[in-house]
Amino acid sequence: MSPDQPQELAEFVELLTRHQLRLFQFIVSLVADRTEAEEIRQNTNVVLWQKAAEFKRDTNFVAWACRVAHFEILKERQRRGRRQVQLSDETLEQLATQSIENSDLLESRRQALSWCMERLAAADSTLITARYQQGEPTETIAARIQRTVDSVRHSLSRIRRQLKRCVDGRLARTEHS
Amino acid sequence: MMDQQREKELFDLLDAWCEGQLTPDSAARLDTILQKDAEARWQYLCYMELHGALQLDPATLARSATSGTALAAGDLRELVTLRGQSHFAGAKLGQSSFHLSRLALAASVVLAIGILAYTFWSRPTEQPVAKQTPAAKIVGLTDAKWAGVSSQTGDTLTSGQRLLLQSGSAEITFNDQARVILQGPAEFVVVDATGCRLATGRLTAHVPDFAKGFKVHTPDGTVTDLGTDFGVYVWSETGGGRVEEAGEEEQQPGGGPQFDGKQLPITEVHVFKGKVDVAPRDQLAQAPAPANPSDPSTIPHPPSTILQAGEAVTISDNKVQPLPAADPFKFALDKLQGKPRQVLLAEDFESYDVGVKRDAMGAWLIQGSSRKGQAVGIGDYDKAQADSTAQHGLADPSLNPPPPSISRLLVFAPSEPNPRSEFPRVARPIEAPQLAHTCRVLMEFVIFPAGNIEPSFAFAAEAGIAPGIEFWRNADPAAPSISWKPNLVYRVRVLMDVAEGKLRGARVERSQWSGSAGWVRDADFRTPVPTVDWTTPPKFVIFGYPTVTPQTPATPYNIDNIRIEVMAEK
Repeated sequence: MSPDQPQELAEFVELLTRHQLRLFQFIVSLVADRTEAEEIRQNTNVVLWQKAAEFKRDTNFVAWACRVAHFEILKERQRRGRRQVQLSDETLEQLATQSIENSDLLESRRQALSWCMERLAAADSTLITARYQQGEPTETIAARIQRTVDSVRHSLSRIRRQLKRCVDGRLARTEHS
Repeated sequence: MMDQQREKELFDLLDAWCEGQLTPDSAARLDTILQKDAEARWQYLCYMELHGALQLDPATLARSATSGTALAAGDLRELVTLRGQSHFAGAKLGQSSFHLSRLALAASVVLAIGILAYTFWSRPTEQPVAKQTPAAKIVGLTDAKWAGVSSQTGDTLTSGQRLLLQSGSAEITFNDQARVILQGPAEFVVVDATGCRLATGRLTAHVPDFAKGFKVHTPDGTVTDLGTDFGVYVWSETGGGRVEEAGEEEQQPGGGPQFDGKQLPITEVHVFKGKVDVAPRDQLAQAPAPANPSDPSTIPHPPSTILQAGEAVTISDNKVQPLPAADPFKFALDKLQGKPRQVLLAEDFESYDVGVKRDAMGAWLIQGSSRKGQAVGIGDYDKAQADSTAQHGLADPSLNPPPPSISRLLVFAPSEPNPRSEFPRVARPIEAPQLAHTCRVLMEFVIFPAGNIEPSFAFAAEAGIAPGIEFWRNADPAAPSISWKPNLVYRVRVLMDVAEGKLRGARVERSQWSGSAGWVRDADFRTPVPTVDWTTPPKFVIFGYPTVTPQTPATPYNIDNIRIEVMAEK
């Protein structure tokens, strides 16, 4: 497609915008650090735009975009140098492929998570908001609510696992409904 | 499927990773696990995406995958000129004189995409984080019990403040004059001066015309007021909201959030006066992005349903379905809004220990006869017990699924030969000088007449002698008798308004659980008109009234899910 054609331009931009969230989710699941994932997402967007002409209309945009993102992740790794705590390139490759193959399912899981989050107990919801949305460090939270750091970590882990079970159950339910 | 041990190891490693606590050795171990095992990789992806998604604001997290931005060519032009670049000077998209260096276009469009994605992504949510602006005030409390932080009358509530009301009610006014009465158990958040969020529980809202636009957000959607009185009730299939103590730490391995992945939340909206606008959740998430992100007036209004006075709907799973009518019973406590109220009697028997009672239980007098095995079992009967007692009936499969509160059944079982004047009953006097003024009485219960028992409930100076619903001291022998079929589940609701010692209005309803059609009101159900003199302190009496034969065995009967509330003006 040629980005000089306004109709195709609009379509491409629409695809790009619509799948930003999936792109971010793909990257953050492989990179873990939010800031780094954000940076990689922006880099990916620039490349996607530059390669817009290569994208064939009516093909799988998400797969294409995620493959570009995967490449950007590798580039970022090279730039930063090998870190001690990191997955191997081979494992990363396997994960990326699996993630792309299951994009729709992972997307459904993200939406189910929204449903599950609504149903968190108040104390758990407050903890998640503080840790994740407000980015408060675990140590600060622990000091503020007068619990040990370990016990706060334990709670976060408990909440994550229960959210995951809820999402699992929610997906199983909608599958059979 | 991974075996439990490997799964535990994997999740322990992932949790360490999430907290930045992974050591190089553990990272290597994680890598090894993942390389060999596709299932482990899948679990990794699910968990780490979840970890990544937790930092998204609620509106973004809820965003549907199929919503697009539906950009028109005109919008695009606006986007690409965001940088104020003069590359497009005099040019319109679509014209052949359109020339642009690809790099410049790329840069400005990427910027535009960045901005659009930002707007698309983090649209202002209903819950602003950490704003301390005052938005509402508690103007009255009635028998309020709080979970965690207690609030007092006169407290100012700020944007984002969450209230956990275990029981009783709280009257809250919002700065723009909307008035909300919250009935516990409820979880409620003050969003700002123009809206609130009800996660679970019941509220009624009275919004004057000039405060039109007040919003109540629920897990299923948003109700926007258009100048009206309305009620919102959020509950779930396993029996309505429950509020956990803030700060409570779950000790059991299986404990935690109040869900099991199988609960279906339901929001009901009832309109009593005026109009409201009801929009289910995903319709909100699917709204296209505004044409001009910096101008809020271009934010499109999603399609929704307008409800008029007298109408009611349920919203669940993004479906809006009509209810037969707005139901004031569900929000009965609201009657005395605006006036200081005193609770004379509020009981649901749930807080008592399960068991067979004799003699006394709180202020209730249990009049059973132990010599013939007559007794009254009171408490919060769990579903398992209800299921086993329900084997007396509900054999009719067409009654599946059982009514939502089947775990709270009222079951009467026949007892030994029992003269009519001696049957187990539970009674309580009401302190009553206030009854000469104004009060509202609500009773609601689900019953399951098993065999030959006819349940009876009364406000009376003493128990009457005729079965059925009794509100008067002397039963009217000419009154039509009321029949209760065995093995059916009934729900009875009584609402009475009393003023100056006289009954001003009464409504009694009986419904049958019909399975697929839910509660079906019994249009032929009539009861004699109550004539109790409220200036003389009555008792509230519950009794089961057996038609006995020498063969009927002795068994205790259980009282559950009776909701009784009497409120009077102070």
